[in-house]
Amino acid sequence: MSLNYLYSIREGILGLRRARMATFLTVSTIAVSLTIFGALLLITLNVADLVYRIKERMTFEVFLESGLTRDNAMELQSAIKGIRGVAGVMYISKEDALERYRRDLKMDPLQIVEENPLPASFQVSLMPEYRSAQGAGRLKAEIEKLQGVNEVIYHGGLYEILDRTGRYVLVVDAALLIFIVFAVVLLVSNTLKLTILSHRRSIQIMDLVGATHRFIRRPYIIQGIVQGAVGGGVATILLYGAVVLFSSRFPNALRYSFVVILMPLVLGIILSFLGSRIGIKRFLKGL
Amino acid sequence: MIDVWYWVGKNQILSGINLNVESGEFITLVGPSGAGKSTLLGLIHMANIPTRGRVCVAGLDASSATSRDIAFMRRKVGMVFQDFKLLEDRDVYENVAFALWATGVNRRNIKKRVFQVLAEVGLSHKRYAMVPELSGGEQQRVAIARALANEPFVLLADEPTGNLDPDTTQGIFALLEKINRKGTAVIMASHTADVAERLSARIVCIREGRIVT
Repeated sequence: MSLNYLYSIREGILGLRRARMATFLTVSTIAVSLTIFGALLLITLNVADLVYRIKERMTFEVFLESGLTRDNAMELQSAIKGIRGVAGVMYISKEDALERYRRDLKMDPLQIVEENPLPASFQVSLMPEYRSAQGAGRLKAEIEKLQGVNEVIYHGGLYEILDRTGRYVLVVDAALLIFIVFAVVLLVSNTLKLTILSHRRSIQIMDLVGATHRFIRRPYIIQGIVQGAVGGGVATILLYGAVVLFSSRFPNALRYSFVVILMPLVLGIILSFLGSRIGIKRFLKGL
Repeated sequence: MIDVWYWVGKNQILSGINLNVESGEFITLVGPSGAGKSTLLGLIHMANIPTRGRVCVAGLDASSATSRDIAFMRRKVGMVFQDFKLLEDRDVYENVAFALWATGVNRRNIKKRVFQVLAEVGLSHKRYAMVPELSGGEQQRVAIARALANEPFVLLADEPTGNLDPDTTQGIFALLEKINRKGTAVIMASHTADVAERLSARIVCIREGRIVT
């Protein structure tokens, strides 16, 4: 490593030590902001995942007209399979339906009525791009047109609620996440401005004696990166701690990946780098 | 400098300046306060860029110079000011060494060079003194030592004795003449004509932004 870089690192670290209070405040604010960021990200991803899983389980129930032969039913199954947006079709015969009834309600309907009253049906699952109120509505209409179909039942209202809720959560969270990103960049750049103001004279002298702007910038950018890394690191540790604690109490309730957990650290470094770069560049422009 | 004009907003600071500095020359810019002496030095140091005309220092044209070019040029153009511009929280050694650190000189060479220039300005014995402990004359010597650290071919001095008493002023002049005798060109701005007369230098008078002699 060249002497220039060693000098920059030394000056950067010394700068942080000289302004201990400002450094502590910046690092803790970054840590808090990025912990909130990480938590929001985790919540957003889990809400999105939950919505996806619920929709995945949501199927159409297509009841067939009574008197349809098994061959007719198989033809109808092929016709439904051929509709764009249908992922799978499962045939549930009258006997299967009765069996399910017995299993679910733990009682035998044939003890009450003489004949099996349950119609044969298809359970139709949808392709992911059709798992919305609009897509499902279109499919329902197409299936209803087919001959032999008596009734199509699907939870259209639930699709709408899921779509709307998912959209609201995403929009609100995205706005909050963007707000936090800007807040961290502004925070780092403003803290750096204070540091720069207190070092104004030495920066002016460096400029005077022929230090390049890159050389002058470097210690301040290193300061920013160190602050961001420490703040982001603390946020990552806090987030991981919270996830572990939550998962131990509610196993399998939370889905997370290490990429998400490490996001505050990575973001802390990137945003602080940007913030410090913007701050020092502005000052040097004015020299 | 060829036909250099310099405006700040609607105020014309310099008009039609032509000045050529030979290597090893000693020039005193004389003129009343506000005549444009500091602006002219700023143009040579490329802290100011001319509104019109051409400023060329060591082959570098101000109109096309990048901030990096200017930084490298400044390593060969030393500058001292009336208010010294020293780092008060550092000692004499660190103030001089700072100019070398900032320009990427390695530690061993920094040590050697700092002792050389401190000896040249007569401050070797005060290398560990903090700036506020020094007299005005000594502080200006530190500033001169810092300006000499990168072995410049020209030293710009903007009213270097403006804050000093007559005896100390004499000492600074003697030092500048000694530096000039060793081959470094010196361009010094002063608002008193008698200062210039005491030095064996080319006198350039500036009045209202124009060279009058």
